[in-house]
Amino acid sequence: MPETLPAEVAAAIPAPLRHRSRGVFAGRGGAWVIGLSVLMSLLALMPIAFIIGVSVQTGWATLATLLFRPRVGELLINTVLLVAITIPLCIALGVALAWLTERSNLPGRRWWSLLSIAPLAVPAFVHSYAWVSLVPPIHGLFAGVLVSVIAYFPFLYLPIAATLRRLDPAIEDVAESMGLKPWAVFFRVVLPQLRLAVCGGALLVGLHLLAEYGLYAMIRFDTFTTAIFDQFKSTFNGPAAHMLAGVLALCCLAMLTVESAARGHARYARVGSGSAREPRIVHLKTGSTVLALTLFTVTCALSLGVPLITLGKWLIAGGANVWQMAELMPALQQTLLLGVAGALLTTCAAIPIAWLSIRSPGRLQRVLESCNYITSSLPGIVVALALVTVTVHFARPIYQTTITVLLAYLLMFLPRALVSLRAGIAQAPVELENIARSLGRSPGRALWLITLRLAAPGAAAGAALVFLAISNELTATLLLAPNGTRTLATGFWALTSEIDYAAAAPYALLMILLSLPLTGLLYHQSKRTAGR
Amino acid sequence: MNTLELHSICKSYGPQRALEDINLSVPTGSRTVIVGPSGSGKSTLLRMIAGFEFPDSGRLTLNGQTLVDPTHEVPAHQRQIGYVPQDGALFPHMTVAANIGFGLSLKGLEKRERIAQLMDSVALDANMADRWPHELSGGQQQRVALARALAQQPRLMLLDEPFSALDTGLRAAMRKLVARLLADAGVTTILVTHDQSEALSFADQLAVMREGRLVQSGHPLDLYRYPGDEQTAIFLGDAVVMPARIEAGWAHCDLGRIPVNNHRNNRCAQIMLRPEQLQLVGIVSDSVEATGCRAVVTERDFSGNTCTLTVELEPSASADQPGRSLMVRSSGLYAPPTGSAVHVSTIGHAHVLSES
Repeated sequence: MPETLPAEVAAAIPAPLRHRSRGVFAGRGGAWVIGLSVLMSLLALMPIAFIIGVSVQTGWATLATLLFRPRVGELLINTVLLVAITIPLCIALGVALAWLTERSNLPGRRWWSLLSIAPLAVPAFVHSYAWVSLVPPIHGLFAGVLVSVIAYFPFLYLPIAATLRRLDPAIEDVAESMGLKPWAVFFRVVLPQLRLAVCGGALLVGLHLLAEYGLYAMIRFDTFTTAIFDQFKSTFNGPAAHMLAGVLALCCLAMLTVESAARGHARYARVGSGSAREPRIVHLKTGSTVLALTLFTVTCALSLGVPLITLGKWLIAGGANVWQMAELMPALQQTLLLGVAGALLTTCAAIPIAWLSIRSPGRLQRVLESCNYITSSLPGIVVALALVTVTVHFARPIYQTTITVLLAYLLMFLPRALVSLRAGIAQAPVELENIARSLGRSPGRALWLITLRLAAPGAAAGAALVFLAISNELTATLLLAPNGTRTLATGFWALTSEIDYAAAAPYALLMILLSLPLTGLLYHQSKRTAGR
Repeated sequence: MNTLELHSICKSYGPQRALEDINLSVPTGSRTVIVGPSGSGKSTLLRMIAGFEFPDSGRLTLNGQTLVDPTHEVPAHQRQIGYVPQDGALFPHMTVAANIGFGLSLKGLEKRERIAQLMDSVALDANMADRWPHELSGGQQQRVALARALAQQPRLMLLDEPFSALDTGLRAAMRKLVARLLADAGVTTILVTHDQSEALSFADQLAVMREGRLVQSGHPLDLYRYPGDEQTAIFLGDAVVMPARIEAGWAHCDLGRIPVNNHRNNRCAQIMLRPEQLQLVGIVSDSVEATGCRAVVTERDFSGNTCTLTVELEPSASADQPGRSLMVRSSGLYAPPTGSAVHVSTIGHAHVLSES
């Protein structure tokens, strides 16, 4: 880790900004906030710096032999096919389900809406565990696409449903008054307005496809991530693993670029003033209703029925024997401990950046923020490899300690905390803090009494999201955790690797129970952003 | 004696000059209003006095204590200056009582008594103490904000467009209440507004700002009557401005001979009259001896208690262009109809504007 002196931090800040921020932050406080944000962003850039550094060190000749070989081509084809087939399927399914729950009079549509988000509560590798134990021969690309769609389509359903709820129905009325048929209205007016939601959701799904290890390892489908993991296990920290990680990181960056190009600069907010009317509800004919209900039933059966039935089967078959409390309880305890510590650390680290982005938005702040977003879009395995290498070489005392694991969580999940925290701080306009100061409170006291109090709900939501992400995290924990660490995820993984599916079932059940609040929170948040 | 002194305050945001060489003295116990169009820098100036922003250069003193000079600056929380912003900015997570008590260092019963006293002084019912800000109307929120600012017995009270979010009827009532309350408490007050009628009615010292400069300050009546330039004249109210030749205390213009308050001779200048200085008399017969000049009513804008008329003066014999159009105020009920011939006469002095 580069040792960052205060003077260096100060030098990194352009002079005009320091000058201008004087009023907003009342002097020295501002420099501290900016300094901490810069420090966080430098830390976030470490995995990318690691990849570049390793590439330079390896040299072009070795690099070329490692990169241009049939194995890499094979992995690339696998990954591209997986992404290219899964994402369109997820988009189609997400749009169809969202339209049915938000814009049609489908019976029980509130329940279907909840059930469409519920698969998120099941970790992706538990999905594939369920499929493998239900249909043991399942493997390869088909299996990869099937389980990926089932595990990740809610990431598209959620934002699309929220956007559909928020769209101004007056625009559709106008389109219809211009003589467009209902189908034309949907394709020419409604669908284009879903672009941001579709882009954002598709990016999220794509990054998960690239980063996921457990899901694909279980059904024996090779992607970059599984290959890096195997390579790491056989040759530890060699250049082969590093170069694969480099290609994987490039894939992620390419995906970010494609998404931001697809997103464009268009404005999709409602232009008029006043609040929009309730959206129009389309009355389905009997045939369409039956078709829609079939779609929902099949989707739920695949995405919820299969995992729950499999789990139930193993739990019944295993009986009381599988509840090995002596192993289960420490795993639960360790998961909670890591989750709480990681959530607290990540939320605290997000405070300076969130603060800057609300109170002093500018070019520097945007650069700082995008550093964190880029790193968090890198797969956990790349972050983990970077941390292994850096700690082995530069910070031996923290190698294979909890500190390194927490650092990985911080790098991977910071944006989750950031987004919620930023919304929270936006609830507290700077004027309130000014008033508190004019009433005789020092800047620090004013921050504590007003802004942090008002931002607390947002911070709590962010911390909860991070906690739940950590409790299901597998890859980085496997690579970085000190010997003897056994979380629910790694415990589950160890048992399934021994094909002891019955003993793994209680771990899966506990993970699902821990994740249920996440699902509730997401459902609640999506309703709130829709203004209800 | 002066409470607040501002000496050549300057402030820029990048290439944008927000404040340029502001000098202002605010006498103890006075109500000073800073008025200007939006973007004129008036709010920036106010926030600078409060200590939320700092000038690039200049000096600011309060009761002889230096708040800002080139070497040091006193932060907001040590200034003891009350501040009430446009929307009140109540703390949303505190009740009315907690909001008002925020700046109090008292505890227990003493604190509750002081809060009750403050609520009474701003005419808030005692049973509102436990309400939340979102349960209050706009006017009530403003009064809570005022009580909160008064709680710390400020040396100076700053009001940033505090009435502009209220509807018209409530606005005048709140303005009176606040003026009386602050006068009773003997608190020196600075109010910022873009509304000229509010400024004229609230102030005993008026300062007009434009494009970051303080263009004129003084008693509101003086500024209304004798504005420095045409822009200020128009900003403070409707004005009739026309060219004239000044000679021995008289202005010769399209309206004939009008007395002026300037005795410089043989000079061409712009003169200004307020529309209420013009008087219309309907022409009954074709008698020639009536004073003033003849004109025709071309437009009538009836708005209840007053009626604003546009009249066109009869073109003079020598010129071939049509006569000058003037705005005249008349009583709403007895205004002459459009098309009628009238005589225009003037009351009082015309004001000679300086060339700008």
